[in-house]
Amino acid sequence: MSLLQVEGLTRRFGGLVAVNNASFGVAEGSITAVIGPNGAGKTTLFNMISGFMQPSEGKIMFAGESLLGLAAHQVAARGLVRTFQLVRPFPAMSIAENVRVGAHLRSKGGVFAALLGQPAQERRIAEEALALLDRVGLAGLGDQPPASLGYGQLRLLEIARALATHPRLLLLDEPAAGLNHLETDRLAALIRALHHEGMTVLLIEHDMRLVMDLAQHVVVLDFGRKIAEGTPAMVANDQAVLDAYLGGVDA
Amino acid sequence: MFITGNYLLTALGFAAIYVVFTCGLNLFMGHAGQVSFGQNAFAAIGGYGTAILTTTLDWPPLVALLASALLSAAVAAIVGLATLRLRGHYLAMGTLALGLISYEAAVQWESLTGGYMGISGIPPLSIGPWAAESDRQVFAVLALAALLAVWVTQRLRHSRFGRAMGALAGNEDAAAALGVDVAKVKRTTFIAAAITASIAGSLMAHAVGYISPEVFGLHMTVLGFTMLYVGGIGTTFGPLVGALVIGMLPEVIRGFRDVQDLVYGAVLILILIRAPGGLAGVLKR
Repeated sequence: MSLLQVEGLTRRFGGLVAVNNASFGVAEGSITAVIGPNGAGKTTLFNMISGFMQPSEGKIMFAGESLLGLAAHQVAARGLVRTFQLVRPFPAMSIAENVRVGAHLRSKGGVFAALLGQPAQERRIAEEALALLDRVGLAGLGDQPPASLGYGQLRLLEIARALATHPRLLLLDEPAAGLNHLETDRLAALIRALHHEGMTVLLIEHDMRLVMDLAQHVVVLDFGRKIAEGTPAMVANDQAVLDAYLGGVDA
Repeated sequence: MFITGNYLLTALGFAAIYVVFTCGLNLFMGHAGQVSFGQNAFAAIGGYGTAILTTTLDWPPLVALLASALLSAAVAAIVGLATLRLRGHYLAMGTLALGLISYEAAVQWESLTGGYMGISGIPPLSIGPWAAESDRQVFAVLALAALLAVWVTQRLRHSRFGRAMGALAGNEDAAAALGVDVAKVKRTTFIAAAITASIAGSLMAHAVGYISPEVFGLHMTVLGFTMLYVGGIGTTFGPLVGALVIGMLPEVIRGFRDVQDLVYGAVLILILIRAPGGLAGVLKR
């Protein structure tokens, strides 16, 4: 059964239909990719799934429950956690503390707990953050500010932060954007390792090499509509997909 | 420069009250990355609350202080519903209005506040049978309050709640994506800052024994901002350093007489140029 099921999802901005009646599923434990030319509605789709935008029509089911009407932080609390295409570090906090923010959902305590102190919980969170930094390849950088990292490393930091929430579904918005070949390869290795541990991943991606390399299932959007769906090999040979990417030829 | 012992203690006591006030400002502006020009409104609630409850109703000072802080928290919660929807410059304007309204209320609501005349005869701060009567005792209480405020903000900063504030300051969308209820954290921080400002207002009323609308005017916010930036916004000891430096500066340069204000301004500019991140950061290095 699908962990995430999207049905008839539509989003209009005035007269413009950014996403038009899109339906697809993300199987538990799979790596699914959404591809499409610029302006195909990929980011709008992602924003709706992650609760940053409400759809005009349609259904979003996650683990059998509807996500409609939930705010972004509530969607995250259900286990559906996203990263952003443009990295968004918290600049005033150290790299390790950035990752510790990701433990927010799995820890407890407000103002009063803070005053009393929570040494056991804090120690656990700190240890986990260091392990995650190690995991994504940022070991030993925890005390530095995010400003000391390059763009590719910031992307890894953002993924570490998302992993700290222990997501059931990890949504990656163009994770390879702005990365060089070496960094992209490292990222692919990380995503593959997560997949082998059973993590479900949904990614939007421009980098076809990465998509073909990683995804088991590909959904293709063009002008807000789903024009194809299937394995990478099937999609790569689909005439509608070729038309969309190569600038369709009129009959 | 003749600073007599008692006079020095009084000036230091004022600085200590401003440490408390600025700590609240630091929570909301430094750590949570928001902006408020209206914190003087909550200091006014604290000050007038304490003045009215201790003089006309004869409440014990500590109870009056806590009751006023509770009222400030309630007002912040209600006002926050509307104001905290605003962001950036709009939040600044919204909160500025709050500070202006509180001043007008203090002037116009004569039956309660005494208008321009204010309220006098406020008893010294006391805890049970012990009262802070001498300058030395008053200063001891105020210094303790200042250190407590620094400790509390430090504690809050390095906690789950503190990380949520930092995430809010860094990027609201990224914070929400990690499950942080951004609106709730903003509201809680605003209330915490209001309580802090209210306590500073109550302490002010006890330390001086007399309050009027002028005490809690807009200049209080301006002074708090100056201290926060000079000391180091978003740092642990920024409020302490900033309030001491800015609070004591007029006493130190009193000898310049006619050009005193000029020197004050020049020193401020010099500090902000030489230590743009605040003096607390320079001291740490």
